Amino acid sequence: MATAVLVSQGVRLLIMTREESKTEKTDKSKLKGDVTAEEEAIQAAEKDAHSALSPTMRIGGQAFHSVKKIYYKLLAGRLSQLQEQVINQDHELSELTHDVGQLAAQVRQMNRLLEGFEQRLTRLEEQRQNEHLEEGPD
Amino acid sequence: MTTNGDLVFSSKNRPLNLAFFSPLPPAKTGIVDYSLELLPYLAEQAQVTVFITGPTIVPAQLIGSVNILSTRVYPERRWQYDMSLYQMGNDGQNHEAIYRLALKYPGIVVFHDLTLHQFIADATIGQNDHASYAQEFGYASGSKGYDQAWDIRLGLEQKPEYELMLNNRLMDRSLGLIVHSEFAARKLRNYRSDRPIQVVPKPQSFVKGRSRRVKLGIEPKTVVFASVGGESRQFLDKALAAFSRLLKVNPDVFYLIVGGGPSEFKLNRLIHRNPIRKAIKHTGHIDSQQDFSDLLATSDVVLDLRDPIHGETSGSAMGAMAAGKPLIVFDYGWYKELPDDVCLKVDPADSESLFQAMLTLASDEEKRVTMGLAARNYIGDRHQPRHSAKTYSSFIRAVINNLAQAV
Repeated sequence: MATAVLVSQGVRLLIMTREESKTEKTDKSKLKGDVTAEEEAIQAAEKDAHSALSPTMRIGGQAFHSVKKIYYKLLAGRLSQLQEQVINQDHELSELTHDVGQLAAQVRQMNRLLEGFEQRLTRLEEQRQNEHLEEGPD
Repeated sequence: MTTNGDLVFSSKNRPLNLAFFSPLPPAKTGIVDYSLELLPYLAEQAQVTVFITGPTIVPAQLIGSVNILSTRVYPERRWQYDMSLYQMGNDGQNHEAIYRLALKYPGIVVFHDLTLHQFIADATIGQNDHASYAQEFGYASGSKGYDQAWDIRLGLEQKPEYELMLNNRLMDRSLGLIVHSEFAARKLRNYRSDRPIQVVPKPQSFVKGRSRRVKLGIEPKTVVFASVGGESRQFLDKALAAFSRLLKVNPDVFYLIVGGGPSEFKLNRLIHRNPIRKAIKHTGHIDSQQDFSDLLATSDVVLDLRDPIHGETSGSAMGAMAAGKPLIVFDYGWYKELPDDVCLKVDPADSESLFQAMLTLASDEEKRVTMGLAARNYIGDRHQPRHSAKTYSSFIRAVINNLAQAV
């Protein structure tokens, strides 16, 4: 249960960190104004490098990305399944605790009843003994 | 055993042995006052042990009538008690240990507030534990709730403090539930109709105080309107706006703001900027019960304008009725259950009806007196602590005997 919570929390924190860094980046570029010439040069170099790759390698890169997407989708699906399970187990635990609470209350009352019976029996025994003594030995 | 062979656990001849969980003084909360009103009378119906979470000053009215023990010893002693009663509110400091025990050792829970959202948020986010907060959301509304909790963490959503009450877990585990009003009972039944639910009117003794008109420089014939307790700023604004209109029609009126407002600084600014400030007096925070009673005695009409979104019963409205004062309230929630002869109910969105209600009571002394008497009688008939204690006792016996049916 705790693992699922932690995993889910981890994924969310990751998303959060990414979103935060995205916002940071946007803020920075806003501060600087337009993209500098240096950055433009880097981007152009990256483009050249990409076009220099063989077609197979390019297809391989795209395939890797789509596999990654599918993997994340499956992971998210599995996590929500686990989440559902955790929630259901949590509810079951509550119902069981309630039942145990009921049983405990019943046991307490049973003990009280037994105590009462024992006291009555003791009184009856004493009464009988007294009657026996009053009647005298046969 | 009954004559027809059915098993009955709780005989009326044998006194119940109860474990009662509540904060006591020096803690200052409405629940402390509630327990102090109830306990002496509950002790007439049952043997009561009060379990406390911290250092306590034992009030005089409890000495000799109840036992007082620490919650730490409860687990080992729990078999001695027929039933445990947990007084539950939103104050994390006073109720965290009570909440944990109520979850672990189910008993009857008294819901003073319907929503426990604030309490759960303090106990989880307040301790930097967002995962547990999300778990509570998941428990209350499934995976959607779980996602919602994380959206709150990301700042994409606000906390739904009033929509999501987060009381489900406690309700699911409890053996029975006690609330103050039908309004609250209906809300709980919507979620769990299979749990025994009992409405026990909030115990309230009569309030006796001495008028402080001379000290405050208020003429005897002046009609004093009062706002008592922590009303929201929004509603106080509305009340003062209506009062301002009233002052133009009837200059012989005065407005008393008793107790600390939602924000003392803002409240003072609101009053000082108000052109009618000479007819307003703000007492500031009131510490003693006697001051509270005296200021109620000084007033003629009490405005209890709040949105009881937590499902609570207003302590200040109860105090005002116990002092024999007519009320002006919103036609909402628990207030709807008040009889029409003790209060004037107004629509929260309608400023005109608030003004009309104030005007009616300002100009009709006979109505004020009649309504005040009816309010006092209502408290006497329905909210006497002995009556509440008897209802507690019979409900506890009913819950115990219901368990016998399951054997």
